[in-house]
Amino acid sequence: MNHLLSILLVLPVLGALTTALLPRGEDRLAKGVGLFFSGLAFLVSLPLATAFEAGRAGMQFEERHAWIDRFGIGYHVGVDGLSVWLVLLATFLTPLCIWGAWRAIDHRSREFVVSMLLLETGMIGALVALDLVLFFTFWEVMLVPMALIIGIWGSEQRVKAAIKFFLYTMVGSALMLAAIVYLAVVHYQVTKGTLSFDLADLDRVVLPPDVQALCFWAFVASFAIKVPLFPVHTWLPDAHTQAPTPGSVILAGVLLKLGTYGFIRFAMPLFPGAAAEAAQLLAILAIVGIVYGALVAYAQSDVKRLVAYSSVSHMGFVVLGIVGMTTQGLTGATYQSLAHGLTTGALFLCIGVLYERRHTRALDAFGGVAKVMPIFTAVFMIAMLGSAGLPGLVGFVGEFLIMVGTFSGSAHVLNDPPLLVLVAATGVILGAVYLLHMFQRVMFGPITHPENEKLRDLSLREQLVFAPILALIVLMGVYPKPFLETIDPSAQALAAHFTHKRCASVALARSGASRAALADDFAEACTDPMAVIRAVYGDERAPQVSGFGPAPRQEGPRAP
Amino acid sequence: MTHAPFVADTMASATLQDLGHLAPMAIVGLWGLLLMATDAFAAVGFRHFQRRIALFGLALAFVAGLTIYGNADYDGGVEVFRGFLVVDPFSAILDLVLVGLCAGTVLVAGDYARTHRFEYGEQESLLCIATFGAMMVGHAHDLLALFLGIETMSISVYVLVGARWNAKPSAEAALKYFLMGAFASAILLMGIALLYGATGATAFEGIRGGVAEAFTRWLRINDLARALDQGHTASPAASDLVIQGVAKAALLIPGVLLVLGALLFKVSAVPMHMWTPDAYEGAPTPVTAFMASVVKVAGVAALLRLFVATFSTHRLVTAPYGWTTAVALVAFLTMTVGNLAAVRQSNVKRLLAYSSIAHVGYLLLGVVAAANFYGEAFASDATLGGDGLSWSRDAGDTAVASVLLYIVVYAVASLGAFVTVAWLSGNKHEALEAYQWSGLARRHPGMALGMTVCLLSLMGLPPMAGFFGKLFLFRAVFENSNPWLQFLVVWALLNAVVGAYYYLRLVVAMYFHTPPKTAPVVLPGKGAPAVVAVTAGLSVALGVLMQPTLDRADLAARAFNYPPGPSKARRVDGLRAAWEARDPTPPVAAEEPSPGT
Repeated sequence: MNHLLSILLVLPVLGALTTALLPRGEDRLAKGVGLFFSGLAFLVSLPLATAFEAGRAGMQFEERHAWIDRFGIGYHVGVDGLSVWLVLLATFLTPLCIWGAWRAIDHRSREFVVSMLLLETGMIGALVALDLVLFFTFWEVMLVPMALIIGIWGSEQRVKAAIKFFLYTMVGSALMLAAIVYLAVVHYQVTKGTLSFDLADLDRVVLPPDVQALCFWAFVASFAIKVPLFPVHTWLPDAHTQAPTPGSVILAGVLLKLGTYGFIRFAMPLFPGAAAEAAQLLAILAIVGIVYGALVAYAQSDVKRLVAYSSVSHMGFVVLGIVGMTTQGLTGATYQSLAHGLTTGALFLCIGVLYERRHTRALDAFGGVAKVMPIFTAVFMIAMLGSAGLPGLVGFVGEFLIMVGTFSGSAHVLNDPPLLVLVAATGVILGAVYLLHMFQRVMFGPITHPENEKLRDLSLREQLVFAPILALIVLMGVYPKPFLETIDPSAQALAAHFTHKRCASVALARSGASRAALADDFAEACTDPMAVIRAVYGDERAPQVSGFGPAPRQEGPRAP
Repeated sequence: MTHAPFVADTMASATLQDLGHLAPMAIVGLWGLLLMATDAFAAVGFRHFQRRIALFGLALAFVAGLTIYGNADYDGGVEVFRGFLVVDPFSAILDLVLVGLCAGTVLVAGDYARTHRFEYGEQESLLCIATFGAMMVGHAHDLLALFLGIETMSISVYVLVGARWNAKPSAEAALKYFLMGAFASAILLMGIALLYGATGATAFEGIRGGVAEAFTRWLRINDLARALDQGHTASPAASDLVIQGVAKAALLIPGVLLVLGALLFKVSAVPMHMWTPDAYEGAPTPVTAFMASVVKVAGVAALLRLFVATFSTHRLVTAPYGWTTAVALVAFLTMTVGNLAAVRQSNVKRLLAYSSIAHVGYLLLGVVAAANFYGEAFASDATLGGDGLSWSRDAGDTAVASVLLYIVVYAVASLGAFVTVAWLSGNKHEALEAYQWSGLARRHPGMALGMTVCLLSLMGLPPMAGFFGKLFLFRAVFENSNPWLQFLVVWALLNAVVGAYYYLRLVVAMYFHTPPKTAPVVLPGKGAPAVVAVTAGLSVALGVLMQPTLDRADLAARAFNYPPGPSKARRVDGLRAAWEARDPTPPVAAEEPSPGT
């Protein structure tokens, strides 16, 4: 099964090629072929869940080939606990999206299916790539099909939204590409002539403080836009609102996770010193996003926009869990990614159901829907409660773990973790407020619009689309153990690695060297990394202006 | 004439042998003349006559180019016509690329001229002669060869630009291009004259030596001046030295700068870019495609041959006499102005013209990086590995390979884009506004896809070849420890985002907008679709299968600033040996039998 990931990458492309060769106008056939190939990809991906060795931290299903050997660019893929479930989420949601779009997409279905399948390859590729050029390639490959999906099948303002989405992402990735190339060049110089873009190789490089900060922020520019983190979130409501239902589902379900995944896999471990310095700021931005997203969501009159802003809020939690760099935080962030993918995906599908029937997304246009669509009401309620983080459903586990992890502050990165958690927790309450508010206005009350009296309830196809998602929402809420068991070791290893490399960064900065070095050079200095970090930062972590570690203090250390 | 007959015989056979080395270029030149002659016999009803002959000749040249391309005998560079030209892996790649680009133009030019009613028999001939000139630039090993090549190419292109006699913009463009081009040529010639005065040579090798000597003299004058300051009296010998030294040094730097200015004009770098949008817009579109591909390749080849390989001594790339700082500044301006101006264009041809200027900006960064590395290689330098391989020289070679790769990838995608523009002009009017492209993806999905792939490659989106071109180019620049150059890379990447915006506008029009009621009329014939299919295919294939492409570019750039000869051959052979040791299946070309010499 060593080629599993490669097969998974090739299958959707094969499907896309097959679909592209179909005659024009065969809409149902095109969707059928798309469903077949994406369903096949899901079945092929199942061994990732069953054959994955829980309790092992390293990469599994690893595969490595030379690609552009001249510059050390390789085809290197693999999954660990932090990515394996996201891959499954992608393969799980794609066929459901195509199936769910059976009626919603009524023109140019062939192109739609091709876009969806190419998007699937891009998403899986970005999740499994362990070479930075390979990762960047897939990262950009996602861009074009997603822009097409928004721009061709979206609502009125679709073209503007598509261009906005494309350009926002391009700006971020341009900076990230510069950082990637720079890192590879430094690696080449530090190792005296080894060219490589492999993550494991580049991870050995420790950059001096100022450059490390620049590179970190270049990566953050790309990932924060994708997440989206608070000040750069403005593309998301447009993209979500204008995108067709399957586009929104994939966008919320998987694409946003790639941003947080990028933080976990690349930005944090590659530049730990800078990441630790920036953590407080990022945490504050995340919390602002949590509260702001929730408040703005409450004010929306467009259902889809409401859910889009709820994404800003929920993804803020994920970022908060990551920047603390604690084991529980990372585990929780990964789990919350999955939870958000499932619940928001389900919510967007629900809105799609309403939109298909009423061709409007305005909250005012509904009311009393529960009377005519009882099954739909139940489905919507479970998705909504899952999103709100009701204990027993999937959303609770992740949020809880994130708050526990942040509160413990064991990685010694954040200042005043209890305060951060306190503010973030209000986001949970606000989340319940706007979601219940939406639910009430759509479902309950008298039927004010006569059109709503004749709404069809969910068809069998729609029920079948929702069933697996709802099952997972409940299952993962009641019994998260098998999932957490696979995520936890990788999270633990990552947190340890982060601390270790952060110590190396600090040691490098304190040695006064202005050149990069290899992490191995600091193995002796960092036998007890936490002690070194404490020695530099004091018991309380204080952010610094330049370099890593505090400037010499005027007065003695403050009392803890 | 007192030559004995046998001397003439050996000379003749030497000439023939040299022509054999230059087979692709010779065939293209010969075909240019042949086409002039066959034009007289081309019957009016026999429309594809000239095109078929031209394509046959280009195919012949391509095959001839292939035999040289893979041949290890040329690794060290073979000087022909007494060092006037050189045949080496670099020129071999350029020969193939230029012949291919010319064939792409020939496939479309005839259909276009017929549709727009300015058909004339010399078109194919002029295209071949212009390509011959471009190939000569690639082979140039002497300032005069460089000049001859550039002039042969430019004069043919002036005619091609103005050939559309029934449209005013064409004549205007031709006049503008011709006047400015003539000035640039004059400046180039003046620079060459100064360089000859300063160094006493026109061959590149001689110039290299002359440059070093001029600087040595100049330093000795400085010493002398210091001695005079301290009250020593000047001897007659010393004043001789001053006169000789000052004269030479005073000619050298202006000569370098004049030649630089002329070449920057030819590649349309800011601020010598003013002619580009007008000439590109007014010219018949296939000729625009030719200018954006063949002429650009030749211009960059000239920069590489003369500036990167020859004017890259330590003193010429470092302050206060260095030209690289100026070119870095030009690169900054070129990419910024090109991109910002392109954003404002509504005319597709002008948009692509400005975007071609922007690409030159990126390329110039690579040129600067390569020259800087070679300059360092002359100063103290760390060695890399056990075989005494100099780090800087190796980095310089890599940078040259990256520039070569980028220009080829750019030229291919650019040809495809312009040919699509030409193809969309079937009813005597050209579809030059973005709205005329609306909904093209529904009417002609294949062509829209081809155009999109070419545009994405120009945009630098992976996995298209353009992305890897940018990646390697910027990697090479990053390797320079100069923080300003590193900043310029980040700037260039942000520029690429601006580029993405205006390329995207066309893609958006093609895919997102509803098609107009009347279908666009397109060129008859299969020529344009074939060219677009090939260029789009190459734009993807070169990206995904980058390693073999890079191997060839590496070979061409290996020991780029070495003079032709055994030491260069040794280093290039070393690369071949390394490949064969690394890879169980060595590059096919390395095993091909050498042609009879």
